[in-house]
Amino acid sequence: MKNPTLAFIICSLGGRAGKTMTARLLADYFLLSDRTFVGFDTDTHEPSFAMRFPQEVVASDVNTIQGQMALIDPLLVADGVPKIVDLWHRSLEGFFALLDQTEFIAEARKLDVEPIFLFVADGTARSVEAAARLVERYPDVQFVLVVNDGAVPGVERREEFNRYPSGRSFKIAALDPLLLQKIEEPGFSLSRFLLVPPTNMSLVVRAGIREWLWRIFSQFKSFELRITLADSEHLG
Amino acid sequence: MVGADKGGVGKTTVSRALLDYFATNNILARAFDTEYPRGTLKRFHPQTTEVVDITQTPDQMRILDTLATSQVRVTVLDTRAGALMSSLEALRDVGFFDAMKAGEVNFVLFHILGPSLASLDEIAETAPFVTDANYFLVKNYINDSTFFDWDPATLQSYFGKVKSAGDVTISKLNAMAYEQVDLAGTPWSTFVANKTAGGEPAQHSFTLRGYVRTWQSKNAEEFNRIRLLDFVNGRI
Repeated sequence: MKNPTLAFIICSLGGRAGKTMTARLLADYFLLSDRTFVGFDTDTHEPSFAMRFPQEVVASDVNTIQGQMALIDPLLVADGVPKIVDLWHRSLEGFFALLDQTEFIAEARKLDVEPIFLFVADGTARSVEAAARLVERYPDVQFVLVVNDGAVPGVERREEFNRYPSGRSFKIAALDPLLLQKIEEPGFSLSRFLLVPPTNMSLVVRAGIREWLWRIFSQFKSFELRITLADSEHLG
Repeated sequence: MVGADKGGVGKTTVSRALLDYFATNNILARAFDTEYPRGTLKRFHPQTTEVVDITQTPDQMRILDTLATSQVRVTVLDTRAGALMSSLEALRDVGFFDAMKAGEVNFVLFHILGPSLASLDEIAETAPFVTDANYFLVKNYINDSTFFDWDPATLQSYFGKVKSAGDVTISKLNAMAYEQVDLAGTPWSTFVANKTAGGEPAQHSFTLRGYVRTWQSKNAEEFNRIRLLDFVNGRI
C-alpha cells in the first residue's frame, strides 16, 4: 500500500506558543533526510515561517478566496511531498470553518492525503479545552499535542497534558538562551547545521544544539515510522 | 415556472439550482428557456433545455401539449426578464390554469424578487394568477443582494394576498466560485464532481468546488423544507 502524503497543520489557541518553531523543526527534519516539503504560512502580518524558507513556504491569507485556494488546493495534492501549515492563531477559526465547509477531511482521505493536527499547547486552561474540542470535533484525524517548554516555560508539567500518550505528543525542550539566540539568527538552517557542522562555532554550542535537535527529530522519526507501519499491509 | 419581472435577479441561477436538485433526486426534468433566442439556461443544461418563445403558438404547444404525455415528470420554465406577467397571461389564455384546477398538472411558481419595492408590486400583480397555485417568493442572495430589510408588516400584507405563499432563500455563493462555474458552463453538480461539460476530468479548484457543494446543500435544504418533491410526486 502506498504511504499517504502527510499534511501537518500546526495550530494553537493563542500566539507565542511556539507554532513557527514547530513548523521550522518539522521542515528541517524533512530537509535533513534529503526530502523536501511544501509549507504555508497564514500569518500575513509577520510570516516568519515563509521568511525562513522562502523557496518552500508561501504566505496565504485565509480571509481571501485566493488565499484559501492557494492553501487548500495544494494541500490535497497526493505527491508524497509533506505539507506543513503554520496556522496563525488569528486565522484558526476561519481555517477550520473552511475545512468543514469544503469537506476537506473526507476529500483528503479519498485522495490519500493524511491530515495531522499538531496542536501547540500554551499552558492555559482554555488551551487544554481547545485541544479536547479539536479531538472531539475531528475524531478520525491524527492529533498530536506539542508541548514547547521553550516557548511556554512550565507547560510540560501541566497534568492535563500528561494524558496524551507519547505517540500523540511531541515535547520540545527549552533551549539555553545563548543557543536559542544562535539558531534564531536569520539564515541559520537547522538541517544544514546538522549536515555540515560549522567549524567556527563553539564546541559547547554545537553539542548543545545537536543534542536538543536530535531529541526532537527522534520523536518525529518515531511518529513517521508509526504512520508507515499503520499503513502497511500485513507484516507477517 | 421561475420568473421575475426584473432582469438580473437570478432567475436562471434558480432554474439551474432546481434542475440540479431534481437530478440529484433522480427525477427526470426538462427545461424551457424563454430567453429567446439567446437562452442562457441552455448553455448550462444543453441536453435538457429548449429555447422557446412562449408568446408563439407552436412553442406553447411544444411546452404544454407534452406535459401529460412526456416521460419526464418535471418541466422547468425559465421565463425571460420582464416576461413573467405575459407568460402567466399566455398560460391562462391557453387554458393551462383550468387544466391545473382539473388536477391534470401541478404548477409551482418561483417568483424571484428584486432589490426594490417595485418587486412588492409585482407580487400583487402576480397574485390573481396564482391564488390556487403553489407560489413561492424567492429571496435570492446569490448576487450579493442585501435588500430584504423590508418592513415585515408590509411584506405580510402582500403575502396575505396569495394562498400557500411561502418563501425560499437562495444563499450567497462566493463570487469567484460562481464565476468559475459560469466559465465552465456546466451544471453545478458537474462542477462539484470536477468534470467538464463533456464528462472529462476537469481541474477545478477544490476550494471553489467545496463552496459550490455547500451552497447546493443549503439549496437542497430549502427545497426539502418546502417539500418540493411532494409536489412532483403529487402528494401536494
